[in-house]
This record gives sequence, structure tokens and C-alpha cells, in this order.
Amino acid sequence: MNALLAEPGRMAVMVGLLASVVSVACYLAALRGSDRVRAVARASYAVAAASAVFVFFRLMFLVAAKRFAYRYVFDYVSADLDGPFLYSATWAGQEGSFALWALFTAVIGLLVAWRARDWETLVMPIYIVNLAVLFAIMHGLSPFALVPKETGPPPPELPPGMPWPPPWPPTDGNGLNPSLQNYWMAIHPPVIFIGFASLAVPYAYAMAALIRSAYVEWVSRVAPYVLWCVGTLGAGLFLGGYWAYETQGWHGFWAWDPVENASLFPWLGSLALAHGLVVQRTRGAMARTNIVLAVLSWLLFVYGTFLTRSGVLANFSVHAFGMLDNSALRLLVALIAVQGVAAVVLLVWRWRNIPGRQTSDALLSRDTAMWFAVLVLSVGAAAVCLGTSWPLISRWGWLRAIPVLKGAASAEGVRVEPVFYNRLGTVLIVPALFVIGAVPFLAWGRTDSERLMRRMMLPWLAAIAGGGAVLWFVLHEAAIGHLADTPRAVTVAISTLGLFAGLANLVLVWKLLRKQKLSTGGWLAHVGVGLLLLGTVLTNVYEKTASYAVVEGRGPVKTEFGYSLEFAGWTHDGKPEEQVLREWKRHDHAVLLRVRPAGSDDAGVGYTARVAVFKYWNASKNEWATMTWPDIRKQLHRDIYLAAADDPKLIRPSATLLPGETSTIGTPGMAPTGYQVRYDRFYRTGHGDMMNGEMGAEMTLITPDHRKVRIRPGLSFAHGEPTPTNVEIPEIGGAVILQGGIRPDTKEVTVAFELPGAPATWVVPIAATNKPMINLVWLGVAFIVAGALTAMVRRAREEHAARAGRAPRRAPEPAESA
Amino acid sequence: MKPGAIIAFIVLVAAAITTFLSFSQATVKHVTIAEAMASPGKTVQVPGQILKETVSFRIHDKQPELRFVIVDMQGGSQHMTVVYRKPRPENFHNATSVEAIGQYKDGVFEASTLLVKCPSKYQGKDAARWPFAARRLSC
Repeated sequence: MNALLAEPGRMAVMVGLLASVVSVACYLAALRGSDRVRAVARASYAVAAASAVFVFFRLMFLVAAKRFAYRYVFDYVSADLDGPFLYSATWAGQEGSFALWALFTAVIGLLVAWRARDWETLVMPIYIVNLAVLFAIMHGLSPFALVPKETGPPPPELPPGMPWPPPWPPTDGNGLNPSLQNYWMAIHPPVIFIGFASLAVPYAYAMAALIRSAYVEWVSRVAPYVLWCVGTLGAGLFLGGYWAYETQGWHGFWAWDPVENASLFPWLGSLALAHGLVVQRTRGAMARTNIVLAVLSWLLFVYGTFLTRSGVLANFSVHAFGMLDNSALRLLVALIAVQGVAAVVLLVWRWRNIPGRQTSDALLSRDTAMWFAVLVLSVGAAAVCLGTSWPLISRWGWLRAIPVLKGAASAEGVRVEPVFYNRLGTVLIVPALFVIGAVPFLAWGRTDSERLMRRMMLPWLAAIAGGGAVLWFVLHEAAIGHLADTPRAVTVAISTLGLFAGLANLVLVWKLLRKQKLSTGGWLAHVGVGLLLLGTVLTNVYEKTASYAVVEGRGPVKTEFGYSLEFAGWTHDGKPEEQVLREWKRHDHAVLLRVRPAGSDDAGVGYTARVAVFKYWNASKNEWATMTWPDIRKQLHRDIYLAAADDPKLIRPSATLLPGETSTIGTPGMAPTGYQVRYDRFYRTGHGDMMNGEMGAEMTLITPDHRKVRIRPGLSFAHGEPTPTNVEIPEIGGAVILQGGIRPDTKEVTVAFELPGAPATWVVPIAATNKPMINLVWLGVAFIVAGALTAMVRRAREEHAARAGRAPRRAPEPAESA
Repeated sequence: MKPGAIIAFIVLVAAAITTFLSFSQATVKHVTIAEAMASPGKTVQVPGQILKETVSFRIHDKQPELRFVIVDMQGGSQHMTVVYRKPRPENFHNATSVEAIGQYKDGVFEASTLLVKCPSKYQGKDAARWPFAARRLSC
């Protein structure tokens, strides 16, 4: 016990927990106006924040120093792990990701405390509760737990030659899963956790606004934080999608998997809030909506964390799920319950108190457009949340009593397939894209419809021209056999409207760039939405995968995507054998493929693809496993995506024959080896007892220079399991093995050989995927993130200027005013 | 009436109708092997243990074809051949059991999605026991 307490990380967790509780109490006491109590609260928070920073970097130090006595280090680090990914192992597991979350919560809290001024004493205690809960979780589920020492008798399944008890501290760990050893993994969790941690700020401000009955001022204060969440969560989702695309070999960037959805619905919530806040600061309306959205965005995130950490959805996802230990899980559930109940109580109490002001009644007004945006984003968030939760909800017994839900409810839980999200998404996205395209030309209050038509005409015509191009593409692709299961009308509609939204907003961005650069944020993001949806629809609908067996030495394989594939060796080629064995365990170990444009015989044309295939240690199964990573070649209009469809196989020259027969030895489809084999007779030794005998084929191998070598490949049953015997052929330095046993009735055998001058052949099953227009997806997300961050800078500056006592330098709203 | 209210009504109704219509198609029931074989053509989710020795892979008509037999999780007598015509899912070779989503058709289960169940990376409770030194011995 003393040894555990002495770990500084553990002590820091306890100090942090204590300090954050003291800080909450002192802040609440300071509400009476005592500056001294507030100073104590601040100092306690500084201690809590410093503890969170210390806990994180202490863990990172233990990871980097490879202290395998620590359970967390043992689980996620190995002695041979080096370089930048060694540091990213700090957040590879549950405990570490809580430490990361606590780190960002603490640091962002310092910013909030500094900027909140007269709101500090109310906002901070609400905010710090989260940090206290994170410390409590890290106390129960400690990142600093130690590997237990083995005592007692050795387990019966201990392999021979293993020392017992094993050395303590361990000399090596289980290692980081290779799919996590990737630059995207190094960036994705920190970025997305910054966004998640920031979502707590709008929640704290919304609750403070309810308590203070101040429903106007919090809007300008919270806007920069909300836009920050939108930007970082958007970037985090993108990085996760790109990571899945690039390393996991999932052939896509979004699969509507629970783990992805759990990050998506808080993001949609924060997007709805960002739009609602614009309405409130401009028109004074939507005060209630914004408070509800701020509360929900945060609670949706905590709920999503609960879904992905508790393991409740483990049977419905492709991801490996964490099983949080019960105390930590209870704390998370308690956090949702307490914060949710507190929000509901305050809302009910203050509801009539919150000023409601009407927005413009005119259909053609920015008011209505923004209102529509909030509605669509909220419905989207609710739908994704419902679909992700359905495996849990569908277990409720009374649902089965409702006739229409009978098929969608069952005691084991029911999964919702992507078709639900795609359909509902289409219903929401088609009108939304039209509105996004129209909104640059809509004024607050009322818009002259004739003028609107005139201004919209140019982007609209351009979009229709672009839509025509997409239609041509659709028909062309369909003509060459790339059939899509999405209706073509939907494809053309979303692409046309996506272009319209992109172009209309681009025109406005262009105009604003000359006058007010910082006002371009929202419009930039809208350009991104248009590009993202255009790219998504074209990629998903016209993506096609075909698989080919690429065989060593058999020449190029023609694909249907306009290029050919040829086996071009391994990265380890030409190295001595012991080095080859080591190279198989390196992550850059790859099969090389020569990719050439169809019809070109020139070896200099095209490029060499490296499809990574390597062995890694699967700690949970205690065995070596094969991992493959795709090769992605970026072209302007498409990605050429080559991945191993299965493990590469080494095919040896072989012959299948009956007793008395003579056969050539070769590989199907390849030139003959020049060797022949004669099956002289079947043999069996022992007492006819299968358990202890040996059986096989007496054969004569005839070399190309007509030497004759007696061989007796067989199977021995000495230990129950059949093992090959008489494998070596010392006379010529070769080997022979019986493949697939001996047919009991005819005694037919298949024998495979390793012979000088007749090498084995690699067969690599390759899945080639054509991904048209995928770059639009990445470009769109980049625009969205850049737009959100630009808007954040603008709102933060305005807020800062207002704080400094100067008149709020409110940039006039762009586009025409009524 | 405000135009906003009308739009809200239209959007919500459209969303509700879409949800309602697609839910019957999009929701996939968990069934046993026997139930899946008894309702051909219906999309279902079937858990099963993979019989390792039955796993085969080939490329047929430019599409990959992964074929294997699963048995009931409870170790019952029911078994069924699963065919999956996409590149092998990551970690399939390490998997002991699988959740196959698809439909039973012409004597085999045509899976559109395979949820491969490997012991989770977080479930390391037993991994810290004796085998850790085995890593250096086994390859």
C-alpha cells in the first residue's frame, strides 16, 4: 500500500481531486462577494490544474521511459517501440485517454477563469465539477496501477522452457497495436479531446445564465468557445476518418459505426448551437433554444463516452471496445444524471423568465434560413443518437408490444444499418443544401424576392451546368458498369445542390476577402459543406472494388480501372534469411506492385505501390498476427487504393498423382520446372494402428539432368497429430512435403517441393478500389474547419474589444441589408 | 401561421416518415443460426464461433470470397456456411467468433458485414499473467 501511495502520479490524482472539490466549494462561497475566498478558490483550481498536467506528463514519462512494472505501460508499450509513436502510446488506452481529457479540461479551465471576469464565480464551479469527476475516475481506474507479481504454482498451460515465476518488473510489454502506430493516431485523439473538453464551457455558461437570469450576455462570451468546438471536433472527426481510410484498410472514411457516431452527434449539436447563437446575437431570438442546445451538446458527448466506454455496444461495432470498470462507469452515469437533472430543474424553473422574441415572419429572410439550419442540425443529431442507441433501446420489452416496432425490437438488441442514416441524411441534406446556397443572398428581416432571384441566378446556372457534368459522369460510369445502389436522381440532386451551395458561398467569400477577411468564416464553412457532400456522394456511389490474384512471374494483371498490376518483389528481397525474418515484423515491410497505365509495356511508366504486409504481436491472443496497410496513390480526380484482400501465400511447385503414375512438377499457370516425380508405391509402418504409425508415398524424383533420387514423404502419427516426415532431400538440397494427406481409397497424394532452380511463387490477393473525387471530401472538411476557426477568431476579437471598454466593433453583417 | 412553423412541420414529418419507412429495413435482428436458416432472404445478425479449419479464401469473378463455417455460440449442433465477398476484415485470422450480418440464400449465409470479435485491446486483465514472456519465444 505504501509503495502505491508513493507513486507521485497517484498522489497527484488525489491532490487534484481534493483541490478541485475545495475549489468548487470556495467558488460557491465566494458568490457572496468575498475576494479572499475567491482567491482561495483560484489557488485551489491552479493546484488542481497543475495536478492534471502533472498526471498526464508523469504517465507520458513512464511510457517514454518504458517502466514495464506499470500496468498501463506494460499493456501499450514494448521494448522495441520507439520514435514519436512511443509518446502517443500515452493515450492508447482508457486510463490514458482520461488523463488526456483531464489535461485539456484543466488547461481550458484556466482560459475560462481568466476570461470570465464577473461570471467567474458562477461558471467555474459548474465547470470544475467535470475535472473533479475525471480525477475520481482516474483514482478508481488508475493509470499508475502496477503489474501483479506472480506467486503460486505455475499454470498448467505454461509452455516448456518458460521461466517461472516470470521476472518482475517485466522486461518487455505487450506493445502498441500497429494500427495505432500512425501519425493520424498521434494527432486524432488530442484534437478531438480538445473539442470534447471545450464542450463543457457552453454547458457551464448556459447553466450560469439560467441561475443569473442573464440570457443575453453569455451569448457573446460563449460564441468563441462554441466555434472552437465546431472547428476542433470537425478536425478530429476528419482525422479519425482519414486514419480509418489510410491504415485500417476499411476502404472508407465513414461507416456509421457507434464509435464514429458517438463523436458525430455532439458535433451536430454544437453546430446547431453555433447557428442559434448567431440568431440570438443578431435578432435577440432563440434564447431558450440556445440554452437547451448548449446543455444537450455537452450531455450528448458524455452519453457518447458512456456508450463507447461501457462496452454496451460491443456486439454492434467493428471496434474493439473498452470495458470500464464499474466504479468509473457509475461516475460517468452519475455525471450525466446530475448534470441532466440540474439542467432540467433550472430550465423548468426559469422557462417563463427567459425572454422570447420573434424572428421575422418572412419566408425569404435569413431569420427563417437560420431557424431551418438549427432545426435540421438538431434533427440530425437526434437521429444519429437514436440510431446509435437503438441496440439498447430496442431491448425494452414494452416496445415489442407496439405493432409497428415489432420487427425492430428484440431482447438481444437490434442494430441499425447504414441505410437508415443515408436515407434520413438525404431527406435532411437536400433542402439544407438549397438553403445554404440561398443564404448569402438573404437579408435579416425581409428580402426582396426579385433581387434575390437576380443575384442567385449566376451561381444557380453554374451549379446546373455542373450538375449536368455530374449527370454525364453518372451515365458514363453506369455505362462502364459502375452501378450504384443509390438512386441516380439523389446523386444528381445532391451534387447539383452541393455545387450551388459551394459556389454561392464562394462568391460571397471572394467579395468579403477584400474588405473584411475575418467575416468570411461561416461562408467558408458553407463552401466546405457543399464540397464535402458533393465528394461524399460521388465517392460512395461510384466507388468500386475488384480483386485480383497477382502471381509472381506471371506478368501484369489488367484491371478494369485503366491500369495493370504486376508482382515486383518484396521490400526484403535479396537480404540474408535471418534479416528477412526480422523484416517481416517491420511496419514498412511490404509487397511491391508495379502499377502501369493499361497498354503500356514500358517498365519506366507508372509507379511502384507498397502494400504493407507484416507480422505483429497480438498480445490478447498470444500469437503473431498479420496486418496489412493499403497503398494509396492520390490523383487529382481519384485515389488508386490497393490493399491485400487476404494474406499473401507462397505456392510451391507440386504434383498430384496416383500410385504408379509419373507427373511433371509445376505450379498451375506457370512454365514447367523440368523436374518429374514417379509415385512408386504407398507405404505404411507400425501395426496398422493409426495412432503410432507412419504412412506415406515412396517416390522417385527425376531432376532436369536426369538424376534419380529416392524420396519417402510421409506423415507420422507418433504424437496423435499428423506431422510431416522425411522432408529433407539432402542429395539435391531440396525439400518435399505431403499436402492435405493421403486419400484413403485411391492413395492419391499431392506433394509440394522446394527444389533448386524451381522457386516457390508468391500469390498476392489484391483488392483494387477506384475512389473517384475523394479529394473533394478532404477539401470540404478543410474548408469547414478553417471557416469555424476564422469565425472563432472574429468573435473572440469582438468580445475582447467589448471587454476593453471600447464600443463593440461589430462588423456589419455581409450581404445586402433590407 | 409563421413560415418557420410550417417548415418545421414539413421537416419533422419528412424525417419521421423516412425513419419509419427505413427502420423496418435498417434494423437487423439478432437471431440464432437455426432462425437465420429458417428465414431465407431476410437480413439478420447471427453470432457464431468460427471453425478455424473451414476458413478458405479465393478470388472468384474478380470478387474476393471468404468462406467459413460457424457454429452456435453455445456450442450447439447447428452450423452454417458464411460467404463474405469483400476483402478480409482486419484481424479476421485472429478471430474466434464473429457477428455476421446478411441473409441466408441458396444454402449459404451471404454476409454483407462481419463484426469480428477479438478480445478487446482494453480487456487486458489476463494478458498480464504469465504469457508475456512467450512473445520472445514464439516466433
